[in-house]
Parts: sequence; structure tokens; C-alpha cells
Amino acid sequence: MRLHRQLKLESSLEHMDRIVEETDQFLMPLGLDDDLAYNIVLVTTEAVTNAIEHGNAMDADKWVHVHYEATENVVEISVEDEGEGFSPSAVPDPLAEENLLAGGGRGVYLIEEIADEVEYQADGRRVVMRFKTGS
Amino acid sequence: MLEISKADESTVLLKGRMDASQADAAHEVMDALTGTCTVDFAGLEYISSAGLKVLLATQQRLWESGGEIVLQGMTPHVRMVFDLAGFDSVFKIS
Repeated sequence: MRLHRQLKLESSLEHMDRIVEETDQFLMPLGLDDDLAYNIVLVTTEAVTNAIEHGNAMDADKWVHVHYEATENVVEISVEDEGEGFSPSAVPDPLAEENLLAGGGRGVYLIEEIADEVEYQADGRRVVMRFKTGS
Repeated sequence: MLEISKADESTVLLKGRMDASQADAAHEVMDALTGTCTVDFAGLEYISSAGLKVLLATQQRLWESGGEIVLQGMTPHVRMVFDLAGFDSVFKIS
């Protein structure tokens, strides 16, 4: 079994509902349990938000590319922007006492906590998230 | 979509999805809160880090005048996000 889908989004937060719908539609035939499907939608939305707001800096001339792939035991979703890239190690730990009341870093943190594997490629412009769906 | 309504002067009801696209609308309602307020999450399906940021800013503003936000009615999915974000120590959750 191999399913895949690609999506190209403008850098506008108005598309958040669309990314939820597209992700839901991709996952539906896989019959995942509700908690896993919820988590995949959650982190995909976080990654796309980061790509629009931070990667592409809301530049209407830049796109966000989303690629979904499902094999028998893994769902892999990559989200790529057309920005300058970033270093994930430079993102502060939002749970550190000095950062708990600060505003940033929680999107990346949620992605890394929830996905089974996270890989940053292309100087941080592309985040690849993998979720185990089988034993 | 996010629907925000007020049950009374100190209780806000959230319904739908609170993500980056809805952050400005949520900010507008939260900015009008004063004192100690309840935010009811019973109808909220989803909250992203952008939604958490709005609540955090409101909490910090209310703290300055001795008030706070109390959160109630979270679904297990939304509660999981709060716990992961460490917000169970920032908000009273009933």
C-alpha cells in the first residue's frame, strides 16, 4: 500500500481550514485511531503555520509545499517553505522556567513531542514528520 | 472556524478551532476581559500554539491587575496540548 498527495499553498493563514480538510481527507482511508489522526492534523497545521509565518514571512510570492505519503506502517508528511531556513537548535525550550511565559517556540516543540520522528532538511526549510501507524 | 461568544460578562465560550487564522479574532474578545474570567472550552475541537499564545498574553495581562483566566470543559485532545505545552502550571484548569 502506498498513498500520496501533494499540495501547494499560498502564504496566507486563510488556508488553515484547507490544510485541516486536506489532511483529514488523506488520513481517512487509512482508518487510524482518533488520537493519532488528531495528532497528525495538529502537527501538520503547526508546521504549515510556521512555514507561512516564519519561513515565508507571509510573503504572497512564496509558497508552502506539503507532501503526504502513507505506507503500511508509516505516515510521512513534509512541509517546505521558500524562506531562508532556520536552525531548530536555536529555538528556545518553551518549557524552561525562563521561557514558560514567553510566546514563541511552542509550535516546533509540539511537532517534536508528538511526531515519532522529525527531520529538518534543506537548511530547515523542509520539516519531515513521521508517524508510526502499525506495529 | 472559531465561534466566540459570551455567556455573561466574565465567561467566554469557545467553539470550533482556535488556530493562527483565528488568533486576531480571539485576541479582540480576550482583550476586553477584565478581572477573573472563565473560558469554556467545551465546544473547542482544537487549539494550536497560536491559540495558546493568545491565552497566555491574556493571562499575563489579567495577572497585572490581580485577575486571571480559569479554563473549563476541555476535551482530552485539547487538554493534551495544554499539558504538553506546560500550561497546566500557568492556568487553573477545572
